[in-house]
Amino acid sequence: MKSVLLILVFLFLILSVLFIPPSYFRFADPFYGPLKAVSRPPPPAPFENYVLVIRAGDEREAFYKLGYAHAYYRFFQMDVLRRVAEGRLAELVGPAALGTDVYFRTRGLYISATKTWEYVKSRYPEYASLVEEYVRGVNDYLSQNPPIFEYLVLGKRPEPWTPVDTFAINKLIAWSLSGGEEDLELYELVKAAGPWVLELALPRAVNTPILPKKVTFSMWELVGASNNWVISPAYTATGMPILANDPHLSLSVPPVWIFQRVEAPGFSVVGVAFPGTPVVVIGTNGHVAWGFTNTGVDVIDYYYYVWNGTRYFYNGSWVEAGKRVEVFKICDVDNRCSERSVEVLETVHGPVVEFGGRKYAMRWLGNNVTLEALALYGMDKAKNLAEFLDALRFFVTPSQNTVYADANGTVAYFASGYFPVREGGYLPFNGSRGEGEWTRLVWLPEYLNYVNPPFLATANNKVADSNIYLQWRWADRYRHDRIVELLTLAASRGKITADDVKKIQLDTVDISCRDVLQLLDAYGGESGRALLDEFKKWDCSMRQDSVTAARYAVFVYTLQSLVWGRYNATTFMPFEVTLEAVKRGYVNRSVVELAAAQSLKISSTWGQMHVYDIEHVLGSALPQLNYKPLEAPGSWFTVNVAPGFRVSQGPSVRFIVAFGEGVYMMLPGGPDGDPLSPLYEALYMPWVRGEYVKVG
Amino acid sequence: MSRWVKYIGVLTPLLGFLVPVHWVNAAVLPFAGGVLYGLVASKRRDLFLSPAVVLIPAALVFVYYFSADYVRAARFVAMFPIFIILWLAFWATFFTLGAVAGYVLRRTDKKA
Repeated sequence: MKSVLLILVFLFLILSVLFIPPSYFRFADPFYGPLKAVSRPPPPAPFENYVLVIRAGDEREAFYKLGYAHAYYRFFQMDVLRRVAEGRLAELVGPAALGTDVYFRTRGLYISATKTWEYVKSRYPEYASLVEEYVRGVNDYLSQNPPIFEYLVLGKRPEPWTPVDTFAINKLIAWSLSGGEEDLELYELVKAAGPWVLELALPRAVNTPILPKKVTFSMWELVGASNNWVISPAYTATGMPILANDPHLSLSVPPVWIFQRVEAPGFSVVGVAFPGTPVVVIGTNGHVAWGFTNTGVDVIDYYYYVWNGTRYFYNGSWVEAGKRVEVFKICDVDNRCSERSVEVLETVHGPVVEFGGRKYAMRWLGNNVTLEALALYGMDKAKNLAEFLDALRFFVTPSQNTVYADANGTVAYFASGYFPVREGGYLPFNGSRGEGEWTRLVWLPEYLNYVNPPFLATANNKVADSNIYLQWRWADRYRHDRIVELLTLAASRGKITADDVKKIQLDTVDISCRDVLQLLDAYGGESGRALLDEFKKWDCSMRQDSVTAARYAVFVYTLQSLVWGRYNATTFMPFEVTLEAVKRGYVNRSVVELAAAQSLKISSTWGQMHVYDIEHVLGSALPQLNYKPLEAPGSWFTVNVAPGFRVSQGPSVRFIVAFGEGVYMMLPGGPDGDPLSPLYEALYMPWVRGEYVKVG
Repeated sequence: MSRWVKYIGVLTPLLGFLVPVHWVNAAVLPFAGGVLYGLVASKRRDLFLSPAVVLIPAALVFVYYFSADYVRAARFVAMFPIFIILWLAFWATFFTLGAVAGYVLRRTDKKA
């Protein structure tokens, strides 16, 4: 009997070794498993009022301390960002990330990041040495083998940081904000629906341009979802300018930004930075303040060719495509790894990608050496408009609606970045015939600028009517028009204050309802009339407790789906284009009544249908890492934007610089990325409630 | 003597603090501690108590982490009870198995 018992014990032991996954032993290890994360070393620079404050004797020390502090608070996020950019995420989080890895590695962001770093080292050694200090700070923290929760769960060790990683993150941000990636989707849509799509999409006639006058680009000169606004001193209570910015990016845990203040002799700046990169992107240094929204101008093109194996026809002859073999490492949670190789072809235009079974070469402005980091470093140090413009010259892509204000009372707008001039650019080119060659690059601020407007707002809407194609997917005009409407109203009541600006950032009135009322009136039929009666009594406010708001959102969503779903459109079409398509009869107008009938079935409030869905990278496996799914106000077209039903995009920071009054900010989550930190979700609720922190 | 062996057995899982190998800390050390405990267990009741006995070293681990950083430890327990449950389940299982093995080995040895 006893022998049997002994055998059973050993049998159980053998079976447990064989069948319990290794990760379970890790999870159950109280000394070197996830529990170890409790014993994090004390912070190098604590947050002051949710702001990471770095005080240093000189710039080199400041960059070192920034690197150390970024790693301390956000290293896992930094690692994920660099791995996404470099196509190495599956090595960290498993096979689910392989598609992302292939996508980014094929496009070669890591190659251009390497080239950019080499260029910076050779041409701008002073800035390169600062980056090296930042990297040294990151690696000094890592060398202590700190217990970072996510790595303890995954059973991985953080790899050292390199300057190329910092530039790779810059490239990733640039890629995600560069316009023109939808050429292939638009091509498919035009094939399915007809040329009328281009007729409506290209001019975007009803969209409101940011700049009032038509811009004419000189054709022969040879040169190598957010809101922001500025208010000139004449309209403010302090007699000093006010600048506001709420860039709409993916909402994530932790937030995409870290809010930091750096104080060193000759270098004092406060604002938001991407973890993994040292410079403040949107901020103020007391002399000047600046903010960005994306212009989305088209800087990506696709080219198809006649292929013969790995040779393609170009310029009258057959050319052998370049080849690089990319090896992807995929590791599961038990650290069992495998490899997969992908051969990437390269033509004169760029890396070859596949879409719909056809090969296209992709040309992206950002795949060159680009120096946005230097531009931002220059902005961080600028003392006046001239110095700011000097810095702006380094900014290549992604083109940004840049608003500027300074302590001298100057306000200005520039569309930053460079733009490749070519014939078209919205559909793929026949590369074999030599179509779509970039003839030159235009420095946009030279053409797209406005110094000292009374006030000026941007919301990813059309920058200007111009004689050349810039892009077609301008955001619908509603957010822009609402901001201008509210600024005009505030100005008519008296002088504008920071509190007025806060209210504008939090506004949830969706003025697209004005267009929808007309549509329902004209084509709504019986259901449309019932809905119209309800909407007429409504203030168009997308409040969480409103059933009418829910019906409105469902109407908009259903109309979009009915119009574009039949063509299997895979790109988001602006609502203005949808409305025009219905009005001009390009699509069957009965879709309006169908959408209205669908909308009338809704009886829940908007908040019940519309919640924040803000996730951590490991949130699907460990939902405790995600923020609570709270009811969200706003919609696709409100200033306080909250697109979709599960809201994972929105104001990634709310930032206001009111010279002479104060600097205010709010982040959609905690500044500390460590889940065990009491600051992990610290600002999430205040952000939802629309509160601000005064940071200067 | 046997009492000290029992104490050493109960505290053996804590040696994991020195060993950065997960399967050793989650299974081998509690099992080894259980064997020591079982070898000197005089009554069957000691065996039945062994899953509870392993809570003593577990409590010491908690004391360590809570004294290191009370707030972080409390957040860990609140956010990730699954890891705590897994850890305690592993320790209880392997310690008890070790105790049974030790107990049986001792009895077999005595008979021989």
